[in-house]
Amino acid sequence: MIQFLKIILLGILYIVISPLLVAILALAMVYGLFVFVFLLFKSVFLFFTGCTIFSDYPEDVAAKKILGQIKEGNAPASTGTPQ
Amino acid sequence: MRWLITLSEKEQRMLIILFILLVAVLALVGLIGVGVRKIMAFQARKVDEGMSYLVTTKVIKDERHFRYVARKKNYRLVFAQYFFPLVILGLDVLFLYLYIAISGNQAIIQEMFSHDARGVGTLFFVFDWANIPTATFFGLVLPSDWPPLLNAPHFVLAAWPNYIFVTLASVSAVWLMVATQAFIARSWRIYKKSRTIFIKSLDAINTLDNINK
Repeated sequence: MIQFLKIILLGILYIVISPLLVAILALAMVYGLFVFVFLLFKSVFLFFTGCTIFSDYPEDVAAKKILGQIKEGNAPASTGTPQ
Repeated sequence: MRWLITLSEKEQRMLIILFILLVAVLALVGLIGVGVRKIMAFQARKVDEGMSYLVTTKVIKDERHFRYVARKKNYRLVFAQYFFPLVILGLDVLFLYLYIAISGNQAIIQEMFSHDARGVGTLFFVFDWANIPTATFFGLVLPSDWPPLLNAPHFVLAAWPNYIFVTLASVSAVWLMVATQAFIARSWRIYKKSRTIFIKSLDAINTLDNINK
């Protein structure tokens, strides 16, 4: 019963703030469209330089390097006597 | 309670039905809201996928750097998720433009949503809401019956360009809205996590532990 009342109260809350939610959604969509257009131009430019906007960032490269080193450190030695 | 006694049987029944309808609508809205929040929590997990290994390897060590990289990755996802719906929308507009250019019939745009010509309205029940039957209930004028039916669903072959255009536009609009919702969900998670994962808290420190060591 308390759960049901909670849902009804949430329903009232969502109806009251629905204009705000719609406004946030609309603003985010406009912002997203600007981001899309900007990245579209950037991707076209990068395409002609032989790159892509989906390539790894320097942070990704560094993290992958560290993860590789950790994996190598944990890997069992493969130079043992042949079976 | 005195005014309730003065209500007729019919009015009391109507009041109960109105109350049940109101509760049902509120519960439905509440459930939809809960569902949307769960979907947003699921969509926000993309941030964790892209950022967790950068934090655990300590490549990112502070809040500002975290937000900078996460925002850039978020924008990439926006680009990827907006791409197909916008392509569909673009092709849809191109299709209608070519149809008008070839047929020379611009009136199809004005008839897009009509129910009595070549519009999408022909596929749906259309009610005459302006002339809905009403009854006076406790001083209020309330709807008392369904409004007259203006259109029953029927297929109009000549309306095929509008059927295709509106269907594709609706699909891409819903797709864009879901992608935007995901964008908001990820942005909120980035903001929230950036405030908490690099926090220097005294709560986690127990000096006695250090002394014992």
